[in-house]
Amino acid sequence: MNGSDAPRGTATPFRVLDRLGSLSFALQAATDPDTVFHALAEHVLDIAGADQFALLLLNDESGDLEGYAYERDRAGGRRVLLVPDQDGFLGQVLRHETFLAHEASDASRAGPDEIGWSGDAPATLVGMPLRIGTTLLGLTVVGYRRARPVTSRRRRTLLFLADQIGMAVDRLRVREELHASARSLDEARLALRRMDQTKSDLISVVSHEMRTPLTAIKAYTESLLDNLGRPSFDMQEKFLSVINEEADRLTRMVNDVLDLSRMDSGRRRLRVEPLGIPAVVEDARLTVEPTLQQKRLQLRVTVSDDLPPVEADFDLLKQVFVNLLHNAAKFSPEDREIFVRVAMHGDQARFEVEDQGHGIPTEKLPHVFERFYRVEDGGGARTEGTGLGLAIVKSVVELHGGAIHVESEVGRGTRFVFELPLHQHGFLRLIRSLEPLFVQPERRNVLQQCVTMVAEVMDAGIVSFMFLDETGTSLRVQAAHGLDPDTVARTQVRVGDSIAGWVAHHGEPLLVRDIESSRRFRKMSHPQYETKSLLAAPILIAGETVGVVNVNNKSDGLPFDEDDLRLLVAIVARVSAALERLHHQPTEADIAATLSSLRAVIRARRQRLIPNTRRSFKLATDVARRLSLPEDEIAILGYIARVHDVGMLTLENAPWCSSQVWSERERRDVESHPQSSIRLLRPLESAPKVHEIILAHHERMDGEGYPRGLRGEEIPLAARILAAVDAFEALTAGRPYRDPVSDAEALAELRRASGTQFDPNVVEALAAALDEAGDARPPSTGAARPTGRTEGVTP
Amino acid sequence: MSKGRILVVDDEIYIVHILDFSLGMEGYEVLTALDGEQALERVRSDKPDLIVLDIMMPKLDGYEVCRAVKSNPETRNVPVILLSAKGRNVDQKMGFDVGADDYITKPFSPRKLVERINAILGQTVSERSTPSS
Repeated sequence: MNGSDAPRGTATPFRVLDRLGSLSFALQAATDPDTVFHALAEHVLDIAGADQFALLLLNDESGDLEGYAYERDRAGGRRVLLVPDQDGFLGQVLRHETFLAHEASDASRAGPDEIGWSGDAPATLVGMPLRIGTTLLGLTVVGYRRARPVTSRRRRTLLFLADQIGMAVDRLRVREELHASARSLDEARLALRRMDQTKSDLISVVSHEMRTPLTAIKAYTESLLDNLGRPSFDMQEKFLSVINEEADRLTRMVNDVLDLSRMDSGRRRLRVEPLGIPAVVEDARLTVEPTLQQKRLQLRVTVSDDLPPVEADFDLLKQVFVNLLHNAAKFSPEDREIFVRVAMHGDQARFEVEDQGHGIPTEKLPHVFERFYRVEDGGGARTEGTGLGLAIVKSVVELHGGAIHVESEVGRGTRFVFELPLHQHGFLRLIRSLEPLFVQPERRNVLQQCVTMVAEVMDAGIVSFMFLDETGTSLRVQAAHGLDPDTVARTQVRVGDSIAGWVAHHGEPLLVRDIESSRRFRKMSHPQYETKSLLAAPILIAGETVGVVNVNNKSDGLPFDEDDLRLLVAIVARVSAALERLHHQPTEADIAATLSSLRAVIRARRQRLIPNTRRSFKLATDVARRLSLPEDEIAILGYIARVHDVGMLTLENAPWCSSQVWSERERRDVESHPQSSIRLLRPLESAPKVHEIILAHHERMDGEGYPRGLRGEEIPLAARILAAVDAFEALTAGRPYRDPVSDAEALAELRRASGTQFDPNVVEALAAALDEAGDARPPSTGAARPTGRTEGVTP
Repeated sequence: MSKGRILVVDDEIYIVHILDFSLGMEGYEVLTALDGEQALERVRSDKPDLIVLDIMMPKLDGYEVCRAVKSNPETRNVPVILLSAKGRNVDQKMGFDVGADDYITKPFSPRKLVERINAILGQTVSERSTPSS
């Protein structure tokens, strides 16, 4: 039976090989999916001796099946798009991811006709999942019009074909992904270039515009100096007042440019609160009152009674009114009126500021919101204004999710109209979505472990995580290490105030070396701090600043420095990413993995498995700079130095505690610890670079290291640095089974292994770093500065 | 006795004032204009001996004004000093292309501007062989 079946139905093995050869040839030549599918179909029908063939791929998002159905003796395929019935034939293949044969005699759940063959329905139908690794791509279906027994040989042939098809499909996917990522890279590059262009345009415009007040200051100052000696000179006061005014104008420009660039880059966080609009308008009126009086302009304000409070940033919204009113006043002749009207419009608040001024010609209207664009005010000369007022207005309105436009008629006046949503939903929703972190026990636990981990890795006595409230105006402590519960409950900081408030407001990390010498923060009392030095970094989730990590009381009592700040930024980036993952509906397993990752780092630090000396951390950074490691890698090197050996925890009988020769098993265990580290850190770590460096830090220059036996430059530079600094630290600090040696002896030992175990360049850079450091802090070479602000100076 | 008549054109009123002061102290008669159109009117009506001209101005910019002055046979010989915050080489070249006699970038020293004007006018005055004190 089998023997007679082979020649008629399934091709002979020899023929199969032959056909497979031409199939793989056809597949390699083809690039577009349709051609590949058609070639596959032709060969499968032939090799399997089948009448029908369908190739259906799963759509990841919809779960639909898409593909083609082919029939023997019919050219081309028919496009198929179907929703598989869970219990139907296709559904079962997908659900169980197994080979499934259906023979006509089996009259159970039919469904073979889901595909809708155009000719006779198949008598024997075989479904096979398409998989690459563990990923299910879809399935293939092979049909025979006449009943065929599915022998084990036929089964093998079909499974083999399915594998080939899976690989072909996967290759298409990879190719498509490559194309897509190349496209998105191109787009990103273009966007960057455009941004860069905008920025240089702005810089050139700004520097040009700033010359105007500078020119006046320079000219009046020089003339004043040249004429001071003259008895008849009586213009001192006039000149000085011009200088004073122009210096003010320059200041305003600088502030405006800074405001704008902060808003552009998203660093200016909105401090949203429900605002009563009449109060905002009144506040703005007081500011522009002198200008209004000068021209005897009347301000008429109407706010409709049904207007509810509007969620907005008070300072920014006030500035919108001030700028619009100034603008209206500037372009109004004397004795006119300016109208402000506010009312509901649909579900938004609608604001109008209207003047009876000269108006703006239609062709200039589209430009009025451009930076430094100025419409002539009709009077000729211009002496005030920064040319940025309306650009700021537009930015603020858009930052609040609103829109602005302008209407004008020359000779009649101009009206600016903008609408703002009543609620700033995005931020509110984000903050509310964080709520489970603070109340749900499991997630609270994650947050608490994050705090402890930061404290352990930073070697700090006090760490607190503060989060913004729903209005975005104040910060509260949600988890802390080293603070009494009373302080935690009591502490609340307004955004903009004090250190945490500054960081939340600017979205930048901050280093205060000495709180008492800091002009900005000196006046505030911080009773819980024992040391005068502190660090703070923003917690970013979904691109928004949602909170601040504060770190104080370094355990060695020394002040924090830029390297500590850099380390904190690297850790907080990881903590933020972990929290962000948890905030997108995590599974129990996600939470458990994150927790065990955090606990492992904490435990490894406490057991001092991970070298902890500040010195080795500094040495690593210093050596990295000397060897011109890219700044972004230097930034993570400090972090890696503190967590890379966490995998040692997984070793059962700590072999590092003995000086005995390791057994084969122990050696294997030790040699696999880099992989264990990576496994443990995975929930905290998404940067491939970090994995790469950790994995390679026990490799040797001569290829005798582990786990992969890389050699020379195959080993990432950062890993080579880490290897040498680690060894140096181990030698000088000593280990339970070995006494510490001096720096010179340790260096000599490193040099002996230079070229075999260690990178000679790294060893020499290490020597140079030690040499230069002496007993003082290692100097930072070159222009490398950490990101973020530095406050105060160490005396 | 006036050393000459100078037209100062700038849309920044403070710049006009300080030039009025500095040149006035030096004994020049100063005429002013706040935009390009006004400037051309004054050139026609008041026949200045020299023009100090800003570039970025409303209505008609300094390049246009300079070109108009230099293409009119009656005013072609009136020296024009461009005084501008535009400091790039291409801006200067453009200035000389439209016929400017000198190009000074802002911020500027009023003293040096006066010296330059003295030099230019001394030269042209002597060329016309009408000695002045």
